[in-house]
Amino acid sequence: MKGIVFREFIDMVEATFGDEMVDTIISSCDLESGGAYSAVGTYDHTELVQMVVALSGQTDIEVPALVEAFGNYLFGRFLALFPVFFNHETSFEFLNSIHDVVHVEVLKLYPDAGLPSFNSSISDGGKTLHFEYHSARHFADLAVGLMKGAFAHWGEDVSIDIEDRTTGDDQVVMFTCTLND
Amino acid sequence: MDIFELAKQAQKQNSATDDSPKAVIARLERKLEREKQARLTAEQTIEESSRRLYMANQALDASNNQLEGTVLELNDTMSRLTSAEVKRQATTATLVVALVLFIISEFAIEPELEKSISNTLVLQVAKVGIFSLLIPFEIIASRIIESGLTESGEISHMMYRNLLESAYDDGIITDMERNLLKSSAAQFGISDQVARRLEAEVVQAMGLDGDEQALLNGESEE
Repeated sequence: MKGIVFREFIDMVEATFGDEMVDTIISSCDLESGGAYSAVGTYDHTELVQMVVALSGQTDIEVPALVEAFGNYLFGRFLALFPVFFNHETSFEFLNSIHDVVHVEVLKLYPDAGLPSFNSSISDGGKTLHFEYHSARHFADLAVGLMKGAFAHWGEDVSIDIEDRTTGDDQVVMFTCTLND
Repeated sequence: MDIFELAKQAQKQNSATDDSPKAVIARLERKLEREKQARLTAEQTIEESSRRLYMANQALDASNNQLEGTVLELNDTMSRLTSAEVKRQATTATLVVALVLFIISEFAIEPELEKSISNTLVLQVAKVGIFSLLIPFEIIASRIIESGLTESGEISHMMYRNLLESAYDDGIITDMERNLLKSSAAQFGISDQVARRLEAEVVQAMGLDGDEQALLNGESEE
């Protein structure tokens, strides 16, 4: 997983819970990197899982809620760092472009990036988005947070129906998003 | 839910805060160490990327050199084709001149000679004399036509035009195409001025904007 995700996670924890919390969770985890993350580096995604679990233990917040909240936070950071990818009319158009545009650009810079794959389609005259998350990393909650961040950014009221379609090792989740009038 | 709202709900962390100077310093030291490690990783990544870029650049340079070699070979082949074409046309011209002279001597001069000279020996001598007189004519006429062909440069102009058309096929002139055009013009004996005129004609004929920058550069070089 790209270092930027780890960096943003550490920054988020520091901004919301203080630097003591960062110190506590890093010390309580057995991290190969020692908790030293550079945005341009690549790290084992299980380190993020360990830190989220440790944060959950420290704060009594459920892991899925933390991951989703992190996704929401991450959307705002991506928006600030890479505004060029967000010039779409609607959140559905943006989400629909991730796999074919955003991830293609990521791979140009980081050919070794292990990205989740998204199968998406817009139907019903732009009112429905089918968005299938497919990843070995099992971060569908992160995807939910990112999607909610996108809906908030475009000021849209969207309901998300989540259907777990996992059959093998990879997590497969179908999100059916419906735009409410 | 927003992370800040979640943080408000989480009360547990506040009770555990240790703000003694010793604890704060120890925390900051660990943070400093992590930041240092992260910086080292970043520097390493940058070095690897620079090396990759350098290697890619080297490979590009090598293939560029190879391409330039191919361009030179092409130029050579083209100039040989041009001179072969000139020779072919010259040969045709020589044959036509010889044929014309043969017809003149055979059907216009010789019947007259045969009428006026009855002695066979004298007649033969006169024929040989006329024939030998015609040889320099033929040579001179061929030369004039040949030089007319090369001087008017019709063939080289045509070939240069073809080159221009294929270079402008994609609408732009790359540096390599520009080099090829320049060296071809030199090989064809086309002056810069004529080359620019031909280029302007081709550009207009193809309905393009042309490689104005290069045309301007060409002018400022003079």
